[in-house]
Amino acid sequence: MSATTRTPAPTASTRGTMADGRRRSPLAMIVMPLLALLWTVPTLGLLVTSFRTREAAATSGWWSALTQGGWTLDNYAQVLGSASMGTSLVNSIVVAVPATVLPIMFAAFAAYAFTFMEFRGKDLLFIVIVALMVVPIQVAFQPMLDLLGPRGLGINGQFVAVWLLHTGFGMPLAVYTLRNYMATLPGSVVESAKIDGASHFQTFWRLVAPMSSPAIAAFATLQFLWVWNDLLIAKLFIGGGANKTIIVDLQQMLGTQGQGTELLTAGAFISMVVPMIVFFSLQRFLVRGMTSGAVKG
Amino acid sequence: MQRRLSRRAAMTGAATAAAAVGLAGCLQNPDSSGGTTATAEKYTEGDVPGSGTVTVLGAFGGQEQEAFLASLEDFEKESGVTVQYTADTDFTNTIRQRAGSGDAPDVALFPQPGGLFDLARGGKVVPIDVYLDYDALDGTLIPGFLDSARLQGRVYGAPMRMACKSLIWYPKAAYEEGGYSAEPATMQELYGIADEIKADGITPWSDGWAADQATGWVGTDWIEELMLRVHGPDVYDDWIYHRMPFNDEKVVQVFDLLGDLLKGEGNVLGGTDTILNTPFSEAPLPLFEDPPKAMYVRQGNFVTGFFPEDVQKNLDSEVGVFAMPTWEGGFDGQPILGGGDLAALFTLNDDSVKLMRFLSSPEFGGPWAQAGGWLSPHTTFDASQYPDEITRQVAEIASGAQVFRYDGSDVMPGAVGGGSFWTGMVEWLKGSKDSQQVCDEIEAGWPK
Repeated sequence: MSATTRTPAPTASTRGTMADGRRRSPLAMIVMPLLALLWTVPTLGLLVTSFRTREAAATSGWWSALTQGGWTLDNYAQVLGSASMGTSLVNSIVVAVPATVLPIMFAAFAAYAFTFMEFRGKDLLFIVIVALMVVPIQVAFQPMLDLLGPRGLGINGQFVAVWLLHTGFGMPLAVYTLRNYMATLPGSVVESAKIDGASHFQTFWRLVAPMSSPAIAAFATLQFLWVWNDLLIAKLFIGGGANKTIIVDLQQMLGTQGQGTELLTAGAFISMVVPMIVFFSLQRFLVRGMTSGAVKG
Repeated sequence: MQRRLSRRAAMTGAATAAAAVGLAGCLQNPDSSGGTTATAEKYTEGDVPGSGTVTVLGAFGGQEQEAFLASLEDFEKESGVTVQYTADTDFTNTIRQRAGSGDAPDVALFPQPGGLFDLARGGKVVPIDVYLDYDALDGTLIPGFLDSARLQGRVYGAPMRMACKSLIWYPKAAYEEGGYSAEPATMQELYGIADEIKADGITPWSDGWAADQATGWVGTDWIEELMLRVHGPDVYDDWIYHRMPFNDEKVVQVFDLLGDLLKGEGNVLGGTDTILNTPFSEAPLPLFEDPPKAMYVRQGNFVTGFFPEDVQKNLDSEVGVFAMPTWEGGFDGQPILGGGDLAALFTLNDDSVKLMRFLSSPEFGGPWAQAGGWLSPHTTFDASQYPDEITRQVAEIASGAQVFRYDGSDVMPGAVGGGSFWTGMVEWLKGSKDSQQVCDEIEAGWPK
C-alpha cells in the first residue's frame, strides 16, 4: 500500500499498474476497502460505546449515537481514576516483554541448531517439538499450578511464573516457524563463515539472526499480542493481587451481576494502546515474515 | 403465632426428610450433639498464630469491592489484621483450581453454595461450627439461611451478604397516577391489577432473561417463586434436594402457570423474544421512560443498581416496591426467595478466624450498606445504615418473611442449577419444548 502511494506522479504508462508493473485489479480495489471497513466495524462500535453512558448503550444501538446522544467521558475518567490502573499497565509490560523476548531467543537458538548443526536424533527431536504444538494449554494448567504453586516451587504469583509458562508454550510454534525460515537462508553464507573460522555463536549473532529478522519480528508481534491480551494464564499464575496485569484489572471492575460493564469498553481501548504501538512499529516486518517461514520451508 | 408454627413445621419437615435419606449428623448444631461421625473439634484462639495477613478471594469487583474494603477498614485497624482481597469474575473455576493446587486463599466468598459443597466434600473447607458460635449466628440470621450452606449435617459457610429476590418494582409516580393498588394480597389480585393496566393501554410486565452463557437464570427464579407460593416450602425443599423427581406433576403445573403469565398475549413487553434478548439489567428501563412502557419488573434487590442514573438518585420518590404476593389456594404464609454470599474458611488460624467472626456478625457491612445494593443477612442489623427507604423496605420484607428459602437453582447440582435448568427455561420460553418435555429432560440429566 505504502509503496504505491509513494510512487512519483503517475504518468500515462504507470497509471493503472502497481509498482512491479502488474495491472491493478478493479475488483480488488473495491473489495479490499469494503473488507477493511467490515473488519473495523466491531472496533468502531466498541469505540463509540466506550463514550456512551450505560443507559444509552443499553437502550439504543451505537450506530444511533449521533442522533440519540448519551455521550459521556465518565467511563474513561473512572477507569483512569482507578488506583490500580497505572501499576497494572506497568505490570503488563513487565509480563509481556520478557515473555516475548525469552521464547523467541531460545527458539532462534534451537532453530539454528535444527537447521545448521548435525546431531543424533535431530529429526525425532524436531518432530516431538512440533507435536507439542497440539497440546492445548488448558489441560496443562492443573499440573503446572501444582508445580509452580506452594506444593512445588512456590513461585506462583510472581512474574517469573508467567514468563516460564509463556516461554514454554510459545516455543514450539516459534521453533517451527523460525527453523523453516532459516532453512530458506542460503547455506553457502553459513558455510563460508565456517571456513573463515567463525564459531556457531558468531555465525548465529552476526549472520543468521540479522537475516531472520523478518520472521523474528513477525513472531514477536504475535507473541506480544497474545501475552498482552492473555487473561487465563495471568489470572491463574499471577492472580489478582499486586502483580496483576491490565486485563485482569479490567475484569476485576465487574460486580456480581455484571455492574460496571460500561467501564470495560473504555478499559479495552486503554489497554489496546500499547499493542497498537507495538504492532504499527513492527508491521513493516510482519507482512514479509508471515509468508516467509511456513510456506517456503 | 401462625408464623412461629409454620416455621417450626418447615424445620421439622426438613429434619425428618433429611433423616429419611440417611444423612449422618445432627441438622441443627453438630457441636452440641453426641454420637455423630463428624469430629467437632473446637478451635481456641492461640492454637495457630496468624501471619497478620488474610487473603480473601471473591467474585465481585468494582464499586462492590470498594464498599467491601471500606467495611473492613475499622476491623483492620482494631485487630491489626490486613485483608488482601482479590476479585475474580470467574470465581467458581478459579477457586476450584487454586484449592486443587494447594494455593487456596485463607477465606473465600462463595456466590453460590454449589461450588462450596464441591470443595467441602474434598475436605478443604473448615466447617463453621469449629470456629464460630453456631447458635448465636443462627439466632441473628434470617431463619433458614444457614440451611443453604449445610452439607451432610454440617455448615461450611457463613452468610455475609443477602440478595432478596421476591420483589416487584414499579415506577412510583406513573403507577400512583394510574390509581393502581400497590398492596395486592395474592398473585391473583396482582393479575387483576395487571389487567387494569392492560386496559389502560400499558403492557403490565417487563422481563429480561439474557445473560450470555447464564441466560435463563431469571426464568429459574420465576419457577422457584411460584413453586414456593403454589406448593409451599416443604414441597420446595423436596424439589430442590431432588427428593421428588423434577418432572413431578407439581413442577409441570408451575411451569404451566408461569406460561400463562409470561406467554399470555400482551402481558410482557415485546413478548417472549424480547424477554430472551433483553439482559435482566435492562428489563427495568422501560418502566422509567416517559410515559412508561411497562409497570412491573420482578427482580432481586440488586437490580436497583441498573436503574437509570436520575432514578437512582431519587430512589425513594421514583420507585416503589412490594413483595411478590402469595398464591390464592397455595401456601398461606409469605415466602421470600433469596440468595447470598457465603464466606468459607480454608486456613484455620487466629487472624482468619477473627475475620470470619467479623464477616458473619451483624456489625459487618455498615459502609457497604450506605454505598447501596447490599443487604445484611442478619435480622439484627442496624437498618438505619441503609441509604434509603426503599432498601429499608426491602430489608423489612426479607426479615419479615414467614418462610425464607435459598435460590433453588444455586443449591441444585451445577449440571442442573447452572446448566440444564437454564437452557431448559430458554427452550421452554421459546416454545420449542412444552412444560412436560422440559421437566422430563432436566430430570433425565440430573446427576446420579
